[in-house]
Amino acid sequence: MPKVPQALYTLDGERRDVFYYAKYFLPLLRGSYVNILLGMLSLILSTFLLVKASVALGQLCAHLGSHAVFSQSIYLLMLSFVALEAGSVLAQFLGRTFLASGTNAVLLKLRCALFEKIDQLPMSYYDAQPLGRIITRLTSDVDGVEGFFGGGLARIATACVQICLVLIGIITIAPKFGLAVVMAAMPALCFSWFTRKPLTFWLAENKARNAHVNSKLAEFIQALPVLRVLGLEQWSGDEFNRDAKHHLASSIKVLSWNSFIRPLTVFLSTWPTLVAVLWGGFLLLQGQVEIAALVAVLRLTERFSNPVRVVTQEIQVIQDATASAVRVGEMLSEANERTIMAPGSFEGVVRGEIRFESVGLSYRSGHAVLRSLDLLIPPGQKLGVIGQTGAGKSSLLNLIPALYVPSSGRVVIDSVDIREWTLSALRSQIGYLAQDPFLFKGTLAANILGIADQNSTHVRQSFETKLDRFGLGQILERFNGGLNFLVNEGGSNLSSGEKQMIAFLRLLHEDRPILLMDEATSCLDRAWESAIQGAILALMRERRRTCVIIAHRLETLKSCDRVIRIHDGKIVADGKPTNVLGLDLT
Amino acid sequence: MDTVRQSINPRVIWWQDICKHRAIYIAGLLAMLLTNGTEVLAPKALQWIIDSLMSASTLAGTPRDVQGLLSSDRFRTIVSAALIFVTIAFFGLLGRVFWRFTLARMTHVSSNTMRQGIWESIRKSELESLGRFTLGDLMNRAIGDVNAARWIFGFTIVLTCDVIFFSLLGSIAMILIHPGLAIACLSTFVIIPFIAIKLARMEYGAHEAAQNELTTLSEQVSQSVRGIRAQRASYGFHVWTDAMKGSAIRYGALRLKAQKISINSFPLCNVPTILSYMILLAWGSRLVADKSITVGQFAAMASYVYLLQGPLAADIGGLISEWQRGFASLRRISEIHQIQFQENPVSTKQNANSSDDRVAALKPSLLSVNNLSVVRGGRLIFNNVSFELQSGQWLGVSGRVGSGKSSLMQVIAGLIPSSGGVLQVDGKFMAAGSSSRLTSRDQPVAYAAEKPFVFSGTIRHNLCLNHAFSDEQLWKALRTVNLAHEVTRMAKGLDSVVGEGGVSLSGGQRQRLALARLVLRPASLILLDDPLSAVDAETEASVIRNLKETWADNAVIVTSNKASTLDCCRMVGTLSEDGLKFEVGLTPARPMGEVVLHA
Repeated sequence: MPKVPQALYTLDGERRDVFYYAKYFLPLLRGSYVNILLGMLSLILSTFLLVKASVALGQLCAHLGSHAVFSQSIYLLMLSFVALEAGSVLAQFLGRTFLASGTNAVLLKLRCALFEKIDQLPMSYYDAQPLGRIITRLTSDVDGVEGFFGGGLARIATACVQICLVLIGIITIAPKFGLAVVMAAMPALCFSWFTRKPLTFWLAENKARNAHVNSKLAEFIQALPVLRVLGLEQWSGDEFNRDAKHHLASSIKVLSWNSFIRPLTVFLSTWPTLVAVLWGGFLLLQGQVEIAALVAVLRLTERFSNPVRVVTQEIQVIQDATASAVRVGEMLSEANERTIMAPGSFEGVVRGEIRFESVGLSYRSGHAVLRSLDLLIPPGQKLGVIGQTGAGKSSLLNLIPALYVPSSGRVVIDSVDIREWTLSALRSQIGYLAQDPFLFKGTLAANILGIADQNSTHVRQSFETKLDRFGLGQILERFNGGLNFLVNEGGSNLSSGEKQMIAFLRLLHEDRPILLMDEATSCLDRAWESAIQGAILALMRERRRTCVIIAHRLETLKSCDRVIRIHDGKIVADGKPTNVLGLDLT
Repeated sequence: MDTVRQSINPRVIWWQDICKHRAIYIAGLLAMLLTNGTEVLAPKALQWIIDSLMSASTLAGTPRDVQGLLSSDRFRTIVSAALIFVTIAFFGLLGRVFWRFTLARMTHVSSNTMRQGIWESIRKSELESLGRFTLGDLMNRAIGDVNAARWIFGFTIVLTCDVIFFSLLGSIAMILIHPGLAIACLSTFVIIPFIAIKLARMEYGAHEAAQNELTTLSEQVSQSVRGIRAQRASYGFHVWTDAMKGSAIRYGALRLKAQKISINSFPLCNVPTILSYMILLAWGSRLVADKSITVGQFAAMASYVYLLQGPLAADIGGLISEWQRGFASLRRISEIHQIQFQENPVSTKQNANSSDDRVAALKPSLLSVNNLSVVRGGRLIFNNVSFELQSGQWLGVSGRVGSGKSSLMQVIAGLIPSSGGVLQVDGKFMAAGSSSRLTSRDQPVAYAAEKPFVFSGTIRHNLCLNHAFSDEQLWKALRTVNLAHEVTRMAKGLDSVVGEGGVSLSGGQRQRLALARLVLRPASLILLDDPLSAVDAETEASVIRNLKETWADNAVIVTSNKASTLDCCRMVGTLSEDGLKFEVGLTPARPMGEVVLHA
């Protein structure tokens, strides 16, 4: 069986212990301590009552056997047995209720902490690892931690407490042979402890293979047109079946392990009963042990195998959850953008002058993307940026909202270094459009005007007059229902061009002093492209907005005041569009 | 869909599959019977032991020598009782191992069969009929439904056997001890199944609602992370944070509700046990006093009440909802299998294949399109499109967003059916959308989409796919699309991983990679749907120049809105916005070099 690609394994690399991240997790418990503590105590109480009930039944049996006459003590024992059993059920009910409320609150806090963290992590964090991995941290890893807290924790806590109390109970009831019974319980405990390692390994492999098959299926479904036109349908079937078969083989391997481990655990957990019968029976015959004690011990040993089985099963859940918690902890412990950048405290209204003073920028790899670049963009200028892939266009754009800090030189906005600005003041005055804009589920109005203003007639009216003024009056007619058009999750019911158009309208509505557009109109046809460029121009003339546009289409750049060409991190041409583009565009 | 639904009965599918593997299932059932038998016998063995010990303890008052004599004899009894106990436990071990290797194994086997079947059906299905399912829906069925349905082929059967065998054998064992007492103790469990089923359904519904909210939340997280750069640059991320927090709060509440249903049903399911204990104590102790039953039997009864609580009260509700969920999922899975049996709307057309020979003799152009029209989702995309194309000719297609450029390409590529008109490739009439033609080994048509699909894996994997090209061939193709330089700069060259959907590549790189895939594969007709929309002007010009050289003898159709792309074509057809006109004209002769941007 071929190896699954390394990246698919969840057990990758060296990791710190989960306790290392305690300082990130402990604050999340605040406010839930009482619930969790009460829950745990109730669960312990429940098990304690169960042990007591076994003792009572043992005594009852002994009484029934020896006296055969109904006395008050028998009635008392019966009553206490029923009361103890019922009390145990009640305590367990309370314990689980408390724990559920407590853990739910903790998990909500964990989620919220991570959502805040998304915006706090520096951009370099996102550059350094695949998006898929980050998203996994935020979704399935949190779900993994939740799986543990949601049910596993209560189950395993109950099981552990039960095992301990049963063993303690056995020793206290029958000090003479109790120790031997407890010793007989050890093989079962040790067995389930030592078999967890190989199982964990095979389970991780199985999970990876499962994920692999699922992602292959998703990939093939999306690629179906490509597979069709390239004649790869048969090939795709063979590929998929091969991977699916490997997953099946791995599932059966896990099953085979479990087929021996689980039944053997059950078998081993009958040993205490056996020892109790033999050794306890021998001592009873010798007259050294009371029958009541023996019956109670036998009843307790019956209660031993179930929790051991639970522990064997839940060890996997704990290990998974711990691994997930470590990964989540790693993310929470990452340094924040603010810590790294240490932004200043300057806040002001941006006029729109952007100045690059011998700016150099290198990413982690040491690869220099910008080399000692000088550029002055006066307020109200529409600047086009061209150059080949990897020339440094986007890096230039990313420096303006301080997504990165230059490695040398400085970027100055309105004669204040971007490092002096507060990040919120700087960024809230910049409009940034990317090639793939993100739309959320809701009305067009919510996407353009914002969730708060989406239903305000006043805002809607002023937006519509604005559209008319900039010659975009008919643009909303494209959407069935205009501003009330319903956008699907991620804008899946819109074409790429329409999405870009909506993102632009959002920018137009927000009307920020600096506009940055990175291939933001690449999917629009000529007519809409020129309408939008016209609107930008009108906006800039009217409000003196500064605009930097990265594009490769001539139509986009024609209306710029000035175009620069970047090559290998430097400006190699700077001037009127006609000069830089080398075309007669009249 | 209505016709599809009627024809599927998941229970029939299930039963057929069970019958196919009946030997395994019968063996598994026997193993379950063995396991349950030993489980029921275990308390019985304890009963014998206690009884023999009890009679031993009553000897305490007898003279020592007699006691010694008797006790050695009794000790032998204890040892043999213990041996019986061990034997029972050992057979339990065997039974458990055996049902895992039979019934539990079938869980995984059926899961694999279902998954393979899903892709088998999808890859053979008509794209049009497949289009009714979203990707998310299909994946939900392939992951969630397969996951739910596989249990009813294995573990759910195990649990069901457990409940049936154990409660039957357990009840029998109790009745054998004392019929009246047994019936009295068991009577308390009668109402529980009905309540348990209701609770299990409620819990499932609540759980489902929570899970749906979690899916929404995960989608939001994924989108917010993907859009982080733009959102942060314009200080807009808090909108996402608020949305995600709101969703997380809703999810937490729903989840807690589901948990509470399960927690609240716990004491309820324990009421019969407590009642049974009360009956046992009140009546059972009298019976012990009357010597109707022994103390050991009394203790065994207590054990049975404890052991029967699981199958009779706690498990049954979950079990029934597991069956229902399994069958519902199985139906959703079989809906996918039904796609391929849908009639192909085009193959019914008379002129599709019948006139094949007659037309082949004429051998007109490589591609001939006559009065072609496409209607999708009730909307006319275009009408009356006619043109001819010979080998060595390049045709440009322009038109506004939504005018149907991509649809035209997809129809010619055979991906979607046409609604009227005649389409002829290489002398053969194309039954549009029929996969039989497309899976043929001889590939006359190649197609590159504007948003090309990039497989996760290496650059090499993306280019080779089913064919092992040499490094030399791969580099040549990469040079043709001007990607060689960029691949060289990647850490592992051809073996650099591009990530899921090619995330580590730029849009332009993805487009060029897809073009390189076509360069490697011979085809007489090549369809390029806005192939270089995300590529900078310089690279674009040079790629087009290379492609013109490589495909000098092929027929090529290029759609684009960019003059720079269309300039490479002698002929340009324009689709009107209403889709009613398609006019082909010659482009003003402009030398290629002119569109190149000079520094």
